[in-house]
Amino acid sequence: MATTSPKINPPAKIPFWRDIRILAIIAQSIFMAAVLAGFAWLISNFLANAERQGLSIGFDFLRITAGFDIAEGIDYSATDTFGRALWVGTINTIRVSLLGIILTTITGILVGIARLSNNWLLGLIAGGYIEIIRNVPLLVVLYFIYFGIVLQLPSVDDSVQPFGLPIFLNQRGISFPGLTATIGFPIWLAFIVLATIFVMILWTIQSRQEEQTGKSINKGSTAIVSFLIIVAIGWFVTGSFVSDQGMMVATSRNITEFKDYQSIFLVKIDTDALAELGMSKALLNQLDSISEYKGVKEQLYAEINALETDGGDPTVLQEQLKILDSASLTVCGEKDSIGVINASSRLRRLGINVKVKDEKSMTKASANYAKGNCDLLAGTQSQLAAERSVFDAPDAHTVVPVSVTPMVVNTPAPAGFNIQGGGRISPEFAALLFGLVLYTSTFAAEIVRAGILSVSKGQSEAARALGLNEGQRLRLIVLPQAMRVIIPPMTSQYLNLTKNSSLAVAIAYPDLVSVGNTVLNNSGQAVQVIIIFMTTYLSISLLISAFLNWYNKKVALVER
Amino acid sequence: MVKELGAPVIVCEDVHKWYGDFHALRGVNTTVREGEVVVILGPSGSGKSTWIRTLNRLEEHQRGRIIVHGTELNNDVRNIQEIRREVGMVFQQFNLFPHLTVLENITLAPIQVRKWSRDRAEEEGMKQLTRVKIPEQASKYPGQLSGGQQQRVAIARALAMQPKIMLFDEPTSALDPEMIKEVLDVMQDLANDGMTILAVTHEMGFARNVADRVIFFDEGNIVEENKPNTFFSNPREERSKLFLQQILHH
Amino acid sequence: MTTITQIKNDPALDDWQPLDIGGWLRRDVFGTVWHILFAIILVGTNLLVIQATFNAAPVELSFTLAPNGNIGTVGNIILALTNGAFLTSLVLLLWIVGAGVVIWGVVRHKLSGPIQWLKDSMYTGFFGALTTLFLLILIVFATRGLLAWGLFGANFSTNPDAVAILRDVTPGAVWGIVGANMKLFAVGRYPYDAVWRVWVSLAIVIVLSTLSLFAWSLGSPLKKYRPWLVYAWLASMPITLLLLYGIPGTDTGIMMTVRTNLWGGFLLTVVIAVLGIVLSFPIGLSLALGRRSEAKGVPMLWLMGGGIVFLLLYWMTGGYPTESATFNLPIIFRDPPLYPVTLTVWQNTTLQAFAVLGVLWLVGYYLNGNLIKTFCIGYIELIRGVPLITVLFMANVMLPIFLPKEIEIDNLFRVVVGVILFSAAYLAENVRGGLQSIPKGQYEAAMAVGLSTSQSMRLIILPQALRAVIPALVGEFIGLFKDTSLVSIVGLFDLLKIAQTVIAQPDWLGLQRETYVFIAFIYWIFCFAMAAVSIRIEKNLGVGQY
Repeated sequence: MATTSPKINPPAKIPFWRDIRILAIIAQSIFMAAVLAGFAWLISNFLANAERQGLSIGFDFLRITAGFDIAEGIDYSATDTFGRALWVGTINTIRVSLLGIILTTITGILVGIARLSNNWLLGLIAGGYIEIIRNVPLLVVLYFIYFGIVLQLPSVDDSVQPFGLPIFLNQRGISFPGLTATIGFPIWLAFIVLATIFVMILWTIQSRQEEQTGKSINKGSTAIVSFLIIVAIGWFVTGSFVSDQGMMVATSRNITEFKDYQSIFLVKIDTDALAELGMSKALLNQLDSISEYKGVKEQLYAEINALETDGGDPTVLQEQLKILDSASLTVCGEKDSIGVINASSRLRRLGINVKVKDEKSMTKASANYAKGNCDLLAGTQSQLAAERSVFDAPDAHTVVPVSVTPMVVNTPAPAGFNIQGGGRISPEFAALLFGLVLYTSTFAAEIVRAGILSVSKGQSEAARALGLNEGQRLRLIVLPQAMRVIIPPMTSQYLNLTKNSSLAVAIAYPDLVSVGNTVLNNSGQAVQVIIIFMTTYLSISLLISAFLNWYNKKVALVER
Repeated sequence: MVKELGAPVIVCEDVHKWYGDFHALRGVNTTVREGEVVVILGPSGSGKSTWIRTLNRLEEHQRGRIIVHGTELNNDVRNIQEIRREVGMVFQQFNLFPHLTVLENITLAPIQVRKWSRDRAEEEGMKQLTRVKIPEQASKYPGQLSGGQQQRVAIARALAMQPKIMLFDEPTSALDPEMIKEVLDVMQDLANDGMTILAVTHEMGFARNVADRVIFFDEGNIVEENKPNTFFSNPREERSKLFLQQILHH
Repeated sequence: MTTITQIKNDPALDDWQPLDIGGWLRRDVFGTVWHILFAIILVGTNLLVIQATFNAAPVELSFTLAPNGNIGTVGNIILALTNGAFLTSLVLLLWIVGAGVVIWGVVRHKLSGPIQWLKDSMYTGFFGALTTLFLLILIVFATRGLLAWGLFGANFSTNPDAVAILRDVTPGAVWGIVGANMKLFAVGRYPYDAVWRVWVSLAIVIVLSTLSLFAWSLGSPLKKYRPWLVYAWLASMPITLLLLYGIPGTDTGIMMTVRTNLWGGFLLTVVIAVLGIVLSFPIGLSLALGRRSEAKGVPMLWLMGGGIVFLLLYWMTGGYPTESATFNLPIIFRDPPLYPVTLTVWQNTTLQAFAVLGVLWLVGYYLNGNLIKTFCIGYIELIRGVPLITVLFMANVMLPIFLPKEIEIDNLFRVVVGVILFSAAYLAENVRGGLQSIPKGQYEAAMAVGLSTSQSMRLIILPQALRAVIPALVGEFIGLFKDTSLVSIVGLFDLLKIAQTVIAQPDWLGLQRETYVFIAFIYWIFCFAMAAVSIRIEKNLGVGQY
């Protein structure tokens, strides 16, 4: 130092054991060295133990054939590898978490608002639900739902049908109407895209118009109405254009239109047996149209009920009913093909009982049809034409075209020992999803409530003072501010739900942990499997929080 | 009034500090002598608070040397502890420990740092409380006191360590007007007792009447050092004139 | 100019509005239609529900109330009170009276307290009143159903033989399973002769808790004994553990060893939860302090130097690759799931160097080279990112693999280690929240009076920070208490696992609902009570102390 004034001694050298910087570096180096040494010790133990127990160290075991079945999920069989099995589990985890997050958000918002409702009873019920469920372990809730409710449901034969809807609850799960896209779907989809673009353009034009004239235009309603109109036009246009589906029947049956199928169904009713059981002539004569067939059945039901309350013996009438019910048309076709779903659902809508005989391929189905095992063969018109050309007497069969809507409702129906058709979710999935949503919603509801309460009363008053209406107040003032408070804790609830989905292992839903546990037991590669668990969950957690951080930023910016 | 000033107790030589890219202190050079009362003035953001906080290492300086009481402030842990023991500090926001009573606030450091017995520390603590004229508040919690009382407790807390130097970082800025006087009175008593004082303050009356020297800071450096009377009546630098004009117009 | 003014002043143009079909639809059509639709739905639902509850089947009575079908006096009273028609009419009557009172109040402008409350919270307009009716019926009949199952139709006999005979004629719950297995639920297979030791432990904890609650309340005369209570708490942990475990190695006598595999039920649940929270506390605290640490880090140069030294050491001690190597990257969404990558010697060494130096560079750049902070952040985020069950699996399966083969560890110990590792990360985040709530001035004042870092932490920062996070800590403990139920999956006989074994007993087969309702109730009572205590503590600590 050149300009040292006479008052100051030249700087003393600091001994290193007193120098803050050196001390910090030493402390941190010792700490890191201890951590590394600890890891090294653990790993050396692991290597020694692994060698002793004959465990492999890499991830090569993922290539070994799994040899166990997985009850649900994407395409998989026992001959696939451990790796594939773990992937199936991961997809299952993502599926239940994603659905859970969506449902939790909806229920959470509803319950949170209900708790703030000015109706005292509604608030009481919402509060009671929150206080009861969130103070009980999720696992207990899951066990109660799975063992105490879902597995206590009746067997398939006695499926519960709530309110007579086409929804079947039984031990094998829940069957419900599903939607299946047909060949016409892509065309309809094009219409939807078109409608969306149209609405967006319309919205922009109207916004500009609004700004120029200063008059408010109801953009929302206009958009919805024009969207619906275009989509509806698309639905019918697609339906009339596309009719590649058809059904093959014996020409002798005189089918030209779809509703002619009634007649061949009515023939199937065993009138002789009914007469033998003592059904009156008048009733038997009524069985010449579908509507009257239904009337007869209703009459029988009423008589049976009356007999039961009077203590009479309804056995004979029940027998008659059974015969009436057993009459059905049999449809053959490729398993899960649109042809079969389309035909059977349309026939059912006519009021005809349908039995479906699924075959793996069209050839097998048509062979079955040729043998006379089915009344109809369903498939695409070209398929049917090809099959018909191979028959001995092609002229004895006609292919009747069946018009197709872009999507077909696939309604479940009891058939034998199972429920056929429709969408189905397993008891395990249902219990897990329901439990997760029931439990996490309580926390979500509290978050929503706190968020809404966090927006001060002054804000609402200011909004009213500016002349905003209630909808505008909620949409423009309260919600944007509440969202800022709601999103961070909601994110951690979404993460909790995802992590809690691992409790699936307790009720045997094949999620990642459940499948991984089986892999662990079968292969003995504990460390690798647990590493896969951790990396997968970490990645999912990071993805969710990254997405919500992005959203959070967007909300924060929009506000400013 | 001419005061006998002792040996230099604070020597700053070319002190620099950066916050990232911001150059907060740009080579401060000055010396403070024992028993001297120095008031530091300057517009906000001029670096006066930063400088006073480097004197007991609440902020680290990155270049230059600071020597307090013959001990150099550097990365030596022992030196830092030694200087903090000898230098008392009073903050704008009082920074009393809310979970301790007034007396516990005052006796904590003597017991823990000076290793005094509890009795001795409490005796000293009561003495300092009497000095700041609030002995009756000893067993209350800080939250129960007014702002002026809290600041006086903070002064007593600093004095209980029997420091050689007192640093005041805007001690009256967070106070209501009627409480400012009680704090300034205590500070004036301290000055009269011969304490070395460095005070960042906007109280011009205090600077005029009590200070031995005024240091005017701007843009991270000392612009002018002068006797209070000369500074207020006839400042040397243009920047000082401007500053005085602005505050005196209000 | 003139034309423009003319146009502007033309009254016809001022009245003209753009064709707003959407607005008309919403205001004049949708609005009305929506209201009518909503009214129809509400009235319809109410009518349907009333019709259903009016004709509800009578509750079925248990054998006690109706032995051999002879309904006694009590039974008759219950039947009369729970009669669907009676209850529905009662609810309707109450609702109509309420509505009448409110209408009377509105008409006569006499909206005194209770009537105002009725109007504001039960009869808010037409829709509100109908909703109230619906909810009233719902609540009344849900309660009726619960009582019918749990009380009127229930069987309370704990004698399995009697229950076996009566099971078919019991329409409701069979509570005997709870009574008959009370000891299992409480302490698992803990030997009868030693159960007194559990009672003594319990007594110690209860006495200490009561004294503490008292000593830590406002203006308590016991205030000066607080340090002693803290010591007593610290001492009580080993004492109760010794009481529960007995003296190691003794097989007889009053202090005989009770191995942890015999511990079970609620006892085990509490032991795991308490050990978990108490032992994870110091770790969590250290992690929080580490994560908040602003200590000087290791400079970039040192880091890089250290990395190079490490690499050289590693390579010289045999880590240097001598030939090209093939790695199988585990990418499980491919089939086959392994992706082979072959690296030459050069590529391999470069990759290793880049990995080590790259990580160190990131630490140096983003965390100022603070290694302790890096470790704490890594640990906390890793643990918080994975489910508890995987941590428990890890502790259960991996601890034995990662320790020398000489060390044999108890199953309970392994699980507790897992719980501690897990809960420490969450505790750390809570404590960090508390530390963040302390203003910077407190640190500065502590430094300015000459306290060292550890002194200021111990005397100034932590007392305030911990006080601020007590509610969060209690919440954490409640969460952990609930989460202990997961240990049943890794084979410990906690309350939940005991419940499962109880259901599997041949005498009591298939009584899932009773058992799960019972243990849910146990968990609920304790969590709810702890939450209530937490609110009390919060109130006590909050005011006056500062």
